[in-house]
This record gives sequence, C-alpha cells and structure tokens, in this order.
Amino acid sequence: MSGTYVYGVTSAATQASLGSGGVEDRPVRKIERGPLAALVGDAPAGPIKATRRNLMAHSEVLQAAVAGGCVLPMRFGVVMPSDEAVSDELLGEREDVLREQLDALAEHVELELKVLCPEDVLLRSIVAGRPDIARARERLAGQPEDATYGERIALGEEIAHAVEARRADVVQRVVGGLEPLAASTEIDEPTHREMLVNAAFLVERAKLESFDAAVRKLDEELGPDLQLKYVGPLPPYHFVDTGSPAWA
Amino acid sequence: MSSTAMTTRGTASNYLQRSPSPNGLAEVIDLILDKGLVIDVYVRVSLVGIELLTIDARIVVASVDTYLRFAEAVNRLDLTEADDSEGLPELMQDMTQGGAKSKTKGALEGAKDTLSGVFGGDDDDEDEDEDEQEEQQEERPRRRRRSSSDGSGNRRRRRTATRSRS
Repeated sequence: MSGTYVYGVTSAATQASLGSGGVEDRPVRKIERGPLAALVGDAPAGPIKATRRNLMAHSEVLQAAVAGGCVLPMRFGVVMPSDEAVSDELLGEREDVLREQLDALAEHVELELKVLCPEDVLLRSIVAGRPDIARARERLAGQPEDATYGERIALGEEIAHAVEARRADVVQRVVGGLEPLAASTEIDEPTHREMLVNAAFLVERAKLESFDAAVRKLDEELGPDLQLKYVGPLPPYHFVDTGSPAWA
Repeated sequence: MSSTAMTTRGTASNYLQRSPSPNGLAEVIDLILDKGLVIDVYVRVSLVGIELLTIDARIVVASVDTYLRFAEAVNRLDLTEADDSEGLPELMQDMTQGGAKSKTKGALEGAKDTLSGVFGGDDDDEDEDEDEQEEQQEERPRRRRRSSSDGSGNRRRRRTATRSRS
C-alpha cells in the first residue's frame, strides 16, 4: 500500500453503507476522528488511472454513502500518504470547515436536471418560427458555397442567436418552476451541443417528493421535443464549498 | 444506441422517472473530475491513455465556424414533409412521439454521436465486464476536460475542443 484514497467525508454518526469494490477494486473503509469520518480505500503506487471502472467506482461508493446520510464528496483522485494523514490533515486540521458544511448540508441532497433536444428538432422549430431564417435558407439552397460565404455566415449567426434565445427561455422555465422548491440552484454550462439546460439543485430530503412532482409538471409543460434527464439523490457535488482557504 | 435515449421517460407510461444515480460515464465525469472537495497537493490522477475528447461543449460559440456549421445544418434539414397537409408542429410531435427519433437524428451529421455521448450511460452499465481496452475506446468520443488549477470555488467550467467535429 502506498497511500490512502479518499472518497468523501461524513459525520461519524452517519451509518454510511460502505458498498463493495471501490477504486482499483480495493475495499472501502472508514477512518473516524471525533465527530467526522472519512470514506477511504487503499491506493496503489502511482497515479490513479481515470478508467471507466475507477470513475464509476468512485461515484458508486458515494452513492451508497448518500443513502445513509450527508456525505461531502471529494473530487476523483485524492490520495493522501497514509491513514494518519487522512486523520490528521483532513479530519483534524480541517475539522471546522468540514463540520460547518456537514451541518449546513445535513438534510439536503443534490438533484440534477438536464434538458436535451436533438439538434435537428431544435433547428426545425427555429426555422418554423422565423420566416426570415426560412427565406434565407431557401435563398441559399443550391447556391455555390463560395459565392454565398458571407450570407451563410449571416444566416448561421442568426440561427446561433435564436438557439441561444431558446436556451435562455428554457433555462428560465426550469429555474422558474423548480427554484422555489430548492435551497440552492446552480446552472452550469451545457456540456454538449444538444443540451439546453444543465442544472443542479440542492433540495431538502423532506421535499424530494414535491420536487419530483414539480419536475414531472415541468416535463409535461416543456413538451415532447425536449427530453429531461433527472438524477438523484446525489452527494452535494455542486454545493460543497471548495473556495475556503482550508482547501488551498 | 439512439434507441436507448428515452429511458428516463418510461415507454409504457410516458412518465418521467428520477434515476437514483448517474448511470453513465459521461454523467459521472461531469461530477467527479472537477466537482467536490480537493486537496490539490494530494491529487494523483492519470488521464493518460484515456483520451477523452471534448465535444464542442457550447452550442453557440461566436465563431465563423460555428455559424457556417449552423447554416449548413439548417440547409440540410429536409423540410419537405412540412409542405404536407400536416403542419410542422404536429409533424414534430408525431415524429417524437412515434419513436422515429433515429430517423430524424440521422439528418444531422454528428447528432447521433453527440446525443449518445450524453445518454451513453444506458449502455455503460450493461457492459461492465468488458476489458479496459474496450472501456477506454468507448470513452474516446466523449470529451476531455481541463479544470483550472487553483481549486477555488465557483469556477466556470472550461473545456477545450481538441478536434473539429464539423
């Protein structure tokens, strides 16, 4: 063994399920110190490879833990030199910031919502709603590319703006429908050209069912062209405070 | 792979279900490679050999290439069906409800690729027993990310295109 891999931190009182195989197929263990516990495993020498198996294992260990209570997730690939280092440098030196966040997030989970739309479906609806774009499209059809370079750029720019407006509109509808039920909301950049909304919500466990209902209502309102991908409960990946000097 | 795209919306009930956990590599990567607590000095990750490529993350980047791609994509849309008695909105509804997604998707180069990147997780779970060689190859079409090195909070994500997919 040449190090201790760290998945996350929970309250020592939490009955976190340790799941089965972790990163590099090593068993998951718990290191406790005072009110805190770290979920860890043995780490091999050298860097942790970001293979699918390892990435999924990291996620699955945290998913198993979140079923039992709040867990502050570590980013993939944190390896400390030893169990003692985890105990001293993580749970000991950083006890205050960890406890503060565990207290703040104790009754909450993260829920993710992505809204997707196949690009051709999106473009069809834009062409259908914008006669000017439809006309420009017809004008350019069959024309030699060299001769219409400027016009094609102008058309593409109009479309780009229309897509961005559409995206902003859907973001607004998602936020409008769900933010009132959430303790906190994060809108990320889409990770993907067919993604319109990439949102994460911090939601009280007690409000999970009403949040589900609100998402279903939103799904109906957004119609069949927009596909929703709804995931959770997750550890509060988006809502842990990584900005504290304790993590510098 | 496109046929698995709608697993979150049950085919029988048309009822949106919450997946209890991220069910694909793409989703997991978004969460655990640049979110979460980190002690920078103890991060030991190797991305070597994984070759995650970014998909052009932002649909609108103000660039000539993007504009030309949009113009071309719109130019290639087959709108002739819209001239039938059925209006476009109804038509679109029919297409999506009738499960004809695979047909519409092929209309745009790259669309299938990108959509499966997001939904690919549905397959990921089924082939966990593959050897790592295959795992890594499947990851290739997705993305590579680069996160800022300071580990400070509230960063904007940054992604860098490493290959043109126009």
